[in-house]
Amino acid sequence: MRESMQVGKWRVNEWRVIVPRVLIGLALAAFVGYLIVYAIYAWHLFQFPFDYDQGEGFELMDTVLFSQGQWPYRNNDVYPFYSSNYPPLFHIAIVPLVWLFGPHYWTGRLMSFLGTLVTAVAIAIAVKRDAETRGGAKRRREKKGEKSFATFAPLRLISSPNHWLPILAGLGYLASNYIYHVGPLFRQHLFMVMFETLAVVWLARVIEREETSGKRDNKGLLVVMLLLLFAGYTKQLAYATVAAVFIFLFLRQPKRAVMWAVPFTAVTGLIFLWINTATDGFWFLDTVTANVNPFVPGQAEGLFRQWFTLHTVITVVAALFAVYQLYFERLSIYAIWFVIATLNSVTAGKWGAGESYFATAIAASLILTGIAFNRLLDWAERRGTNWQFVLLTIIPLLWLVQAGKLFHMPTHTPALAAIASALGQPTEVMIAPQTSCSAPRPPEPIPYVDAAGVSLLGRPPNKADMEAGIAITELIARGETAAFAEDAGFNFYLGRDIVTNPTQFLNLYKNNAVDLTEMLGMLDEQAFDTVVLRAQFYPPEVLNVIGQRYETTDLVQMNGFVYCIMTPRGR
Amino acid sequence: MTKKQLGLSFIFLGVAAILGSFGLDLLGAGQFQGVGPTQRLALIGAGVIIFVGVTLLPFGDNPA
Repeated sequence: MRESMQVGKWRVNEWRVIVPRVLIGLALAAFVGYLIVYAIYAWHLFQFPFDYDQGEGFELMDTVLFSQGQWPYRNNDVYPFYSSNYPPLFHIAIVPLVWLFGPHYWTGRLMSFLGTLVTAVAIAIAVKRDAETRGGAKRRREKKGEKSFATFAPLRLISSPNHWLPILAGLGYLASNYIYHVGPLFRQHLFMVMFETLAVVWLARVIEREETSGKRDNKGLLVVMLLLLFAGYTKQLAYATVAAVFIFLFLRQPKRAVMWAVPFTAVTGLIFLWINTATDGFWFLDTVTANVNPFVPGQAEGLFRQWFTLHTVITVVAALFAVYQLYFERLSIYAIWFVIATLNSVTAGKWGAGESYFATAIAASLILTGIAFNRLLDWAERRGTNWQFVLLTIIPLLWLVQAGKLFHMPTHTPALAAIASALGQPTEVMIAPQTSCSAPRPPEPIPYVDAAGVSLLGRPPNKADMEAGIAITELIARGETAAFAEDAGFNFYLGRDIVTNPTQFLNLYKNNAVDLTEMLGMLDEQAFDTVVLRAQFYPPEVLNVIGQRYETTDLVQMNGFVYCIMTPRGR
Repeated sequence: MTKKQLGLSFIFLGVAAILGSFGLDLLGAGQFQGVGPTQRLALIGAGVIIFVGVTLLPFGDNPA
């Protein structure tokens, strides 16, 4: 067997070509594996007709109201005590699906899932675009007579990061435990991240084109502003990306940044005022007042630790590259976006917030990491084959380390359990069902393993969960009224009214912005034939009157939660 | 904008943050005698921003 081969004027051992190829292949296989796992989880969720995550049903209710030409920003003081605390765009995007197929959970889950795929593609495009730009720079250097060492075809294939680095960066987004957990849920957060990512990637392209051609591209910048507007009217948290975009513009073109900031703010404000007027002021009450929640420092610290532990490689590489740009290059939009999104992730410490608040930082860190690796490979190409081999070994290894840190996998089939076992992972974990209105239950085996630790999200719902959901609806169907339920899914299943949005109601209660009189009166009169509790996210007075006028008749476990089914006392 | 201007902006922001955190005390906000935990965090953050700003100054007219 030949031990070495000629690469231009360099001799290269065959294994030094094979090892990077194998490592790149392994890294790609690991992240494709996460994509498959993600698709399995999503597919199971699409078929599950009840709430998997608390709050999904209320986003479906928002969509139903929009499909009927009504606003979900309404008076919480009167029956059905329902309002939404989220901006409208995600729900409006799903309205056509509700018109066509009816009010089903899969509509919003599919939309969110597709949104994550679009984000992943945008991340990949951003990294690929940088590689291509660097390719142009390389060609210009070669024109000037500066030689590149990678002239050996097999080596050039892998040293050219145009393909595998963008794919790894894009798939890295879908492989994040946080994106996996929330991506296929009927939640609007990752739809916002999609618009944020598209806006930032498009901005980078517009500015690069302008600086290359020397011509202003105002139409391109208008698209960026529209995408930012869409992001903000999908979820309020997009303000951080808006800030990042305008800071970047200010650094490059201060006067132009101000010129665009004024109309952008005006349009955003006018839309806000229009909705507020159209809803008699309930838009402000429901989306601003109700979102003033207490900050829990321990929650923020815990989530920051978890995020860093899970995403160590991409976070460290992105941070180092951002620092490098701060001192030795021009700051890119991606570096500014990464820093601001990471700082803004502290809002994950708000009551009711959570891991998904890191999604923007994750998207930004993946783009920066991909670009940083592009630059390193480009640099190595100019230094010679030794450096190329070193980096072509280290970079895929780093991706493999990152893949290992993100480990998550459902193990409900023999094949998945065997893969987990072969990878040295447990095939199940012991988790006690969540109880709030019933006695604690002992831990039970859950066929889902997650490096994030004990997670209530991530395990595909199964047949037992489906049967449990149907059992709850059958108990509700014994009565004639809509259930006073913490989840909307049961009333949806029966075609009955959706009564209350408990977390929204609790937030308004904590801000002294709701009148409980009518609700307490109806509960006292036992106007609801059934009450369904899961986490008791109601104000204390409401829970108190429920306790006095209703009694628990059945306990049903679904998705790891024990639901208390209550019927009127004395009937 | 240049690296030097960016550095000066950071220094200005850091100083403003320090003054702001003590200004809140004058307005009666905060529940701690002396420097509270949140204020301490804000001061550390402001210190880091000022430090970064100072280190950017030598990079002069390079574009930010």
